[in-house]
Amino acid sequence: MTSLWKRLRSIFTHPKRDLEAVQFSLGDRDPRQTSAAPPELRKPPDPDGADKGEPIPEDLDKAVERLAAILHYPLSQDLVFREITLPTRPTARARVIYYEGLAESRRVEREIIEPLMRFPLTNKTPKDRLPDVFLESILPSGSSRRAQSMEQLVTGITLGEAAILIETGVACLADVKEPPSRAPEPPITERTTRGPQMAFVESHRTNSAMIRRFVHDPDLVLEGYEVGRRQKTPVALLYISDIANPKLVAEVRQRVRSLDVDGITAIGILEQLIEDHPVSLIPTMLNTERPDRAALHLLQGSVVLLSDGTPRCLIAPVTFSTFLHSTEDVYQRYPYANFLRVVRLLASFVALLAPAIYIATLNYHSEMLPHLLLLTLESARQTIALPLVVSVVIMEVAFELVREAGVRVPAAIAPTIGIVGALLIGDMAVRANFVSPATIIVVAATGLANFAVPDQAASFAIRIGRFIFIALAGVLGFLGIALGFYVLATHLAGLRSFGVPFLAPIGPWRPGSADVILRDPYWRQELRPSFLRPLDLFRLTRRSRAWDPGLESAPSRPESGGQEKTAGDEQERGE
Amino acid sequence: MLALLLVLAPTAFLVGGCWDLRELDDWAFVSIMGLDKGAQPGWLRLSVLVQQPGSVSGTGGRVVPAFPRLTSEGATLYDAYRRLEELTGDYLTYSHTQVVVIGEELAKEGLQALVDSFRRSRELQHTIIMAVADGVTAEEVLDSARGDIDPFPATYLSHLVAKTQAEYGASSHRCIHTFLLAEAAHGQEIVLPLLRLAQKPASPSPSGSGTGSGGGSAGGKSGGEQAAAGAGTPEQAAPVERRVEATGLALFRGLRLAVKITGEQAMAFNLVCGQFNRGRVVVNGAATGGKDLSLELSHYEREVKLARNGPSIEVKLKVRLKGSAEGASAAGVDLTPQGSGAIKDLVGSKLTEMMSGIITLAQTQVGGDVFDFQLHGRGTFRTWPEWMAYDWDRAFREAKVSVEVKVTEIRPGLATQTQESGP
Amino acid sequence: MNIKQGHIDGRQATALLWLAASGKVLLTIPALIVAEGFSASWLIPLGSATIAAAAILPGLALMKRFPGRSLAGAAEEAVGPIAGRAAGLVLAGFLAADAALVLRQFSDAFGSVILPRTPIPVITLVLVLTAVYSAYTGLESIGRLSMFLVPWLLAFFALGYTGRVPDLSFARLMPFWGPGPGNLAVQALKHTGLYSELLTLLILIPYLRKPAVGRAVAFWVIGLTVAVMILIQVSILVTFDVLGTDRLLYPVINLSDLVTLGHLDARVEPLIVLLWIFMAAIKVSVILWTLGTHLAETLRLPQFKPLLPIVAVIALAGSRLPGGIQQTIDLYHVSVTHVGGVPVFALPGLLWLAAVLRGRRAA
Repeated sequence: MTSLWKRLRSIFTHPKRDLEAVQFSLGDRDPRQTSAAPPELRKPPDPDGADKGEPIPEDLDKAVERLAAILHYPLSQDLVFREITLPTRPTARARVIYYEGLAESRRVEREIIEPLMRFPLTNKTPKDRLPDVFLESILPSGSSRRAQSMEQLVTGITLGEAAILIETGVACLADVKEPPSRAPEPPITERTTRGPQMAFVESHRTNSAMIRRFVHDPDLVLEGYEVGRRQKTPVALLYISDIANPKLVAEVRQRVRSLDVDGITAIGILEQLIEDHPVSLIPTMLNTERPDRAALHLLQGSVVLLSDGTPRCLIAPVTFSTFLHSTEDVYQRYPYANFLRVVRLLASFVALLAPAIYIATLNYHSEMLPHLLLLTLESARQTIALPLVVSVVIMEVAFELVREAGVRVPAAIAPTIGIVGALLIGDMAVRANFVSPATIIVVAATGLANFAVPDQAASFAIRIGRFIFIALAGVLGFLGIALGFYVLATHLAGLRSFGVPFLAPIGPWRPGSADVILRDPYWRQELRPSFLRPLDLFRLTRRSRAWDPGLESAPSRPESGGQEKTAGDEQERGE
Repeated sequence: MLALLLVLAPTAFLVGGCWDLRELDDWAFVSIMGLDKGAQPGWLRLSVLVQQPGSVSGTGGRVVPAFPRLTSEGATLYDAYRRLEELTGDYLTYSHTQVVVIGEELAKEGLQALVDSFRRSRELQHTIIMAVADGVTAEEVLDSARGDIDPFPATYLSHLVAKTQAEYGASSHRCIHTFLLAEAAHGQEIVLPLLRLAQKPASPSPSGSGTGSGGGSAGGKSGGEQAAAGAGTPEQAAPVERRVEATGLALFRGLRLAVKITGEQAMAFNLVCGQFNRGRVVVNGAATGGKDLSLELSHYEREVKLARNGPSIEVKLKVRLKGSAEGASAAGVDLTPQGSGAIKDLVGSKLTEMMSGIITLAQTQVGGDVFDFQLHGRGTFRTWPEWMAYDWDRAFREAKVSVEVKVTEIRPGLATQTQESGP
Repeated sequence: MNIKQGHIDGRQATALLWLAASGKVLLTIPALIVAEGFSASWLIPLGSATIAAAAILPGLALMKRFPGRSLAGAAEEAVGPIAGRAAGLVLAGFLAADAALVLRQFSDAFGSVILPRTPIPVITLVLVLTAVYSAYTGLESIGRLSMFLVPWLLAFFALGYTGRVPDLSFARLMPFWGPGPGNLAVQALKHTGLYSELLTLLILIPYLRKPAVGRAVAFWVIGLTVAVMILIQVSILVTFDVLGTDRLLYPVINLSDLVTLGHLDARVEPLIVLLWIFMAAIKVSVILWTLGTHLAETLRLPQFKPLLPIVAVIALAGSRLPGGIQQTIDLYHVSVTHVGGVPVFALPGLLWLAAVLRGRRAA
């Protein structure tokens, strides 16, 4: 009995499985506590044994030899070791090292080599002042800096900077990086009719610049980190320091910097490494390609993560309603926005449950159908050889095949695939008596509804969930669907996104401006989402439309502008 | 071990279910159910019209569905259900049955056999119409349940009853729920609509297949008449077709049919019990110049005041209506405000007479409260045991019921003055 | 950083308990109450609510006397370890009986209404597995889920009331006093077990973020539950009358069969069935959580989660004990509805009294 008890304990109370063992919560203390100074950087181990703080040899040849060994020169043929003779008396040698392709060659020539070749130096310049002389007077590049260690040199070179080594022991890095990139283009998956038509690009600097274009707030902080032992992918953490909860920022920071991986090639990998529930179907971070959406979330009190090499960003924390919202909602007038939100909510339910309800109704609960509809469906199914569940599954799989093929098909023949898909799914299947026309309608409506879900990750979750519900409906009819939905709802209730319950602000209820399913007009949305525990809860006053005498004049924000407690602060909190 | 369990459990779950799974084409949906006395004493004869699948076309050309009839007999209704299942390979389901027709003989014998079956049935919707066949068997009604326009017999019958009640006040929409309610209630009697078969000569067609007017012949087969007639030559007598009419009400005492009322009596019944919507009445008197004047009655309001004095009760019934005269100008009837007062009185007195007559009929020939006065009576009791101990039937039989009908307005259906002819 | 894990606020507790308490109106309770209260059966929940609101106060006082302690712990403090544990086990036995009988009733109801050919044990198993998962995710999840489901369930409920029902009459609420005022009062006293979820409240008071809101939660739960019960009872009476309801097993389902929405030729039964299943799942989840937590506290076990499969098996096995649905209903009506007032109100009250008389208080 004791061993059984111990075994049960070990199964059900393992920290990894204990859903209540919350690792992090935003807490119920005063969110206005200021954050402590960032802790020390935790440097990942240096590859090839270049320890943190390995000094740069003063001897140029030794330094070059060491760098060549680390960077596998001459094996790496895109590495350039350019030797220069400086016009000093006596002459001095210098080496410029960079990756061709990452650093722009013309900038190297124009901003580094030419100035070095022309600027006269005398041996009267103190040796310890040489780096400063180079940085202040010779190298015009705005981001030039002194290198303190071999590791810095290596990191800089791999990121596209050019290293300058001079035989007097001077080592600098000049920012001349011009990695392959492209100009911002319109969004692909998050198109809107109103609002900016700009999406992120692969360069995280350009991306952060795009965000700054929307948020001209000096309190917008961009913390930069390098993630990965080998790749050292630049990752940027953005937040508005007087809005975002410091605990949230600290938690995100800690998670990012605690990663011990080779590197991350895309932000999706970063998402998988830092999200709260990596196994769940439901995403707990928002992955978007729109800088304006990132800006909107920053202004709410969320944090944004950018990663070099990915034209997307991550936003956290999020709740279930986030995945039903589109940026379009903000730009449209609120009646239209609410209409669209209702449509999307219905689309989500249709996409998830329509085939299951269709199966359950026809196979288990035909009494629920109106009489004439039943007659029509019954007549249509007379010549169909396959059971209904099999028909639906076949058509759903076919639809997924067409969708997956459509992602990879060359643009030239994309219309053909569409026609083939339509023929395959629609006409031929009906003619061959595989499926009935009603099944085609249900599957097509489900597919369309899936496309109406604004977020791709949520759309994936719905696609997978749909098959689960089809199985449940095929086995237990309506009971299966209802219990499956209950399990799904329970799962959602147990999720957290960086300390925020996923069903907030409904479960638990949190006061705030209406923006869950339906939203208030923008001028009435005074409060930021209180479940984010922002430092500044108010984003506008009731006098935001000050020109309109029809609105009440008493502001809810005190005129002193101090951060007063709101009614919500007096409520129970703690999640 | 745990991994094996986690794989086996869902698999077992997924493959072990499906007890209730039936494909749509495994079902045979019963459209109308008919119940008659069986050949053996105490037995029931069950007739059903089954929707024949594959006969509804949605592509433009209208294909008329077929409704073959199946019949079985059994000692109980469940027995009859079971025997019916043996006649077909599909599973019969009553979840979409829209009408239950009860033969007159069975109604006279008593409906005890149906109460428990109907109450416990999960398939039969309790909102479906129950009706009694007048002078024929339910089986014959099923065979003749073909509308000239509506190809679905069940829809035809249910709409017929509903429309007759709503527009003419000559029937009543009673369903299984109201049947069971009345059966269980203290002091309430069952009332069901009456369905009658009216014979009409069918116009001969070149095919000789005996159609009604309009040419859209229902695919279902009636009794032998149509086929027999269809085989004949045009020179022979035109085939006779019967159609269903909803003409009145069947009043029950307990679970046995007591009285059948039709026409004006049915309308009077609805006026008394508060289920009147619209109807027609024809009056003839001095106010109409000795001519028949037809009026459409509407805007019905009823007020019931019931007083109880020991074992006896007194009911005061006040009804208000508006009328719309049809053909008044042709009849030369004066419908000006000054002249319509006499018409109103005439109509009012006629309706009072009709309503008093039906109340007397119910008190004498039925002997039970068919008008649901008990709903008003129970409010005069303090506790439920007192109400249950009260002999409501006797009180109803001996009740003094006064009726007052007031026609508040007579609107001219057409112009009140005839147009002068030309010069 | 971690704060009060597994705790809920007053709103969540109210939603959770309200849904669990209202779940029983979807079973045979309305018919059983009508058999005892006749046309005034809607007054019985009202009377019981009044009595329950007063009767829960000693239990709340007991929890307030020993803040931070569980009900089992408070019992031990009040009457000593042996008697306290015995009292805890009595409560656990009541909860186990409640779980088993509710499980059987819901399974039978779903079986007869939705899946007539599926074996009842299969339905029971599926329901229990769902409830165990829900209980396993913890009180926070159940609380949030309840808050999330409340508006949807209310919407389904309201939609059902927009439909038409044939032959509806409010005169069927007469005679007003039903069995008589005296008899009504007795029935109200006998039916205090309708609010047996208040025992769950006593058990989860330590898990409230602010235990002081326990009283407010109790009154809110009683008020909302009685509102639902009165609404359902009145709806059933005006539709089926007393003698008609007497013959029904699940009056709410029968009621939903009659409701038609406008000219739509379909019933609203699917909506009511969905509502039914959700409330059943919440109710069984809450019972299993309550039983697991209370048993863990009584037996002084550090975690309740390993007990969940054990209590689920107990509930499953117990649900198979009654010979048939009628026996189940009778057992439930006697043990929970009638006698339930004893473990839910009387026992905690006695414990409080003992604590007062013995001068026991939290250290």
